[in-house]
Amino acid sequence: MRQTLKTLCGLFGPSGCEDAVRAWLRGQLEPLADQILEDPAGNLLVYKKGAKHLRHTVLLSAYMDEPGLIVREIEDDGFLRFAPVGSADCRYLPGKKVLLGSSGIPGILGMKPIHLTSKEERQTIPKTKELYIDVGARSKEEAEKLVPLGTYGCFASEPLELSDQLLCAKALPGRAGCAVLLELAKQALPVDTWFAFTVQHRIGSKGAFGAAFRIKPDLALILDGYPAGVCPDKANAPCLQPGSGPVIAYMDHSALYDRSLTALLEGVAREKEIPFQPGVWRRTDTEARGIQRSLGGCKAAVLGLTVRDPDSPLGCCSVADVLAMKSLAEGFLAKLEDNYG
Amino acid sequence: MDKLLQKLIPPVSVSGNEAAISKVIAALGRKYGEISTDHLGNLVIHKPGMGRRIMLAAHMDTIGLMVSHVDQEGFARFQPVGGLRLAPLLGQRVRFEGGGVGVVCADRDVKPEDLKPEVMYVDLFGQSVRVGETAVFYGEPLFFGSSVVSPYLDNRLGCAVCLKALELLSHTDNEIFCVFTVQEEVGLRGAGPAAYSISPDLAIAVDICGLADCPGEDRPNSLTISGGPVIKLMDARVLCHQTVIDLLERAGRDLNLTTQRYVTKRGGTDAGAIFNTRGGVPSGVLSIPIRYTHTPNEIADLRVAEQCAALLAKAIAY
Repeated sequence: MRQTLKTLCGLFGPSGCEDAVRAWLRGQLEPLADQILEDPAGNLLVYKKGAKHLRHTVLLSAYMDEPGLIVREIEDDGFLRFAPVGSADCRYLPGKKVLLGSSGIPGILGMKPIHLTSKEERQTIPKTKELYIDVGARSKEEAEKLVPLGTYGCFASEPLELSDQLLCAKALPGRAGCAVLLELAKQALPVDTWFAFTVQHRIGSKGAFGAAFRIKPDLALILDGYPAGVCPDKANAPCLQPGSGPVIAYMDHSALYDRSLTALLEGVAREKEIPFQPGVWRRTDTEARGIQRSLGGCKAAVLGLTVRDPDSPLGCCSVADVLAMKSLAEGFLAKLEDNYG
Repeated sequence: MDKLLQKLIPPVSVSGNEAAISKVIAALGRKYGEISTDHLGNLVIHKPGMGRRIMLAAHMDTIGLMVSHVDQEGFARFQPVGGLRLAPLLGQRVRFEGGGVGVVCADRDVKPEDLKPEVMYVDLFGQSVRVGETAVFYGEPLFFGSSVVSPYLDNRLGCAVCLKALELLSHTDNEIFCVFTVQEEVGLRGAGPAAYSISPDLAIAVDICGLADCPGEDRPNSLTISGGPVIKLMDARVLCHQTVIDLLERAGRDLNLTTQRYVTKRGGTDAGAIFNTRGGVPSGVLSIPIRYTHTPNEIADLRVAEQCAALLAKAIAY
């Protein structure tokens, strides 16, 4: 799992440009799947037969994309101006290295040198439009050859392990879900299962809609990341923390989750003695937005991974939580026959 | 109508958790058609027929609150579900789905203008609730003459009107799908999928509408509480389809009822979601006027609700 996760997080895949992630996953899944298809949106949809065929269609989903940027203008002197893609948190950008395009042209994000800044400027985060990317080009023409307008970019960041507990990487919220699904697909499954690796989650679950339309799920388990520290504003309220177990959410901004499936997940957690963190808040979004209410609707639950600084070049999660997610998802599938056979 | 309301008001069914009210409505509606429930929990009473496929949609969920955390002293923090207004919530008793009762308070140092969910809590005086558990205003309907005062007339009154309309319905060839929808209060989430499955030729959402016939400078509409059934033309989510407006107004004329037209830039009903389903569904809204929407004491005139039921029964039989 650790290695799968590190490999996945290292891949280039800002929203709208998930090709590298899809290609790698497809390579891994080809020998495991009974059916595999890429839909027009770019979702990778994988069907694997299990021991039992259920009356209900089961879908597990995770998203492939990560926050990134797109080149929107090239200055005469070869510097690139860009726009954030997929709710990228631009506070993290200044001074960082980014990779541009699928060939991974390196660039760095510069800003005004310190001796030219006012005191006020030094204490504020620069606006995105003030930032520029330097790819080493000396002119507009030179830059255009390397990175034409519309080229996507993402953080250049190698995964890093902190102690034996924490794994730090970019793209964790989506790719951790992908890693869990891939590891699950390597095993014998209790029931026939569809896996959806979706595109463009971060710009509003655009991929998930199409995936749900094609697969027509009755039951969906959505894997996602939740930012650590999400909690009511009161000092005495517990925040989500990496290492305290996966998140089972009842409500977020995108959905109210199905009570029966949520109870099923909790039951599995208790049975396997896996700690979990219950979640009720209004600000985060999962793919339920696209999946729960497509067609005639389906029952949906969410299993979340707590990630510290999820949108930074080095988000931070607990490997034990990821393993627990897999174990919960496994238990979830095993229980479906009794409840929805 | 008052007997129906006495059964329909009490179930604790905040959006996403409609099992309790669904059970009550299923028991009341069984005699009118075949009952089914979809994955999201939408409850359908289906009356077969060879004519037009008509969908009625009355949402059965209510606004409420959900426990997000219980602190060491046993005070429950919460998040609102749906358009919960915080000022009327303060000082109220609330009832939890598990049977518990609590009182909503704000932290001692909070000024009224600074109210937000994060500085409010439910005092449980020793009872326990779990994270994710929902609660509603504690209150039962009171009847005075033709008036009713109650929480959750939005939209249990709409549910009552639909059930009453099914009772009054004379013979018709039309195929009727009377849907009691889920998750309306959190953004019309249930009605769209229900409409997708049903694929109706025409849809009428039955919901309450807020009134301005009470003191205050701003008077955004001229509706009155006893002025008759309200036929909506526009809100923030839909421009009602002319065929549905005509249908409802024709039924009003045929029954010699005074009806009120309603145009607003605010709010939305299930019609907003149904309209955009599949290739598009001609949709409209029949509204029952009430005062003090989303407070523990909504007020309606039951004579108007009865008129709405009669009008609806007439309209879907054409």
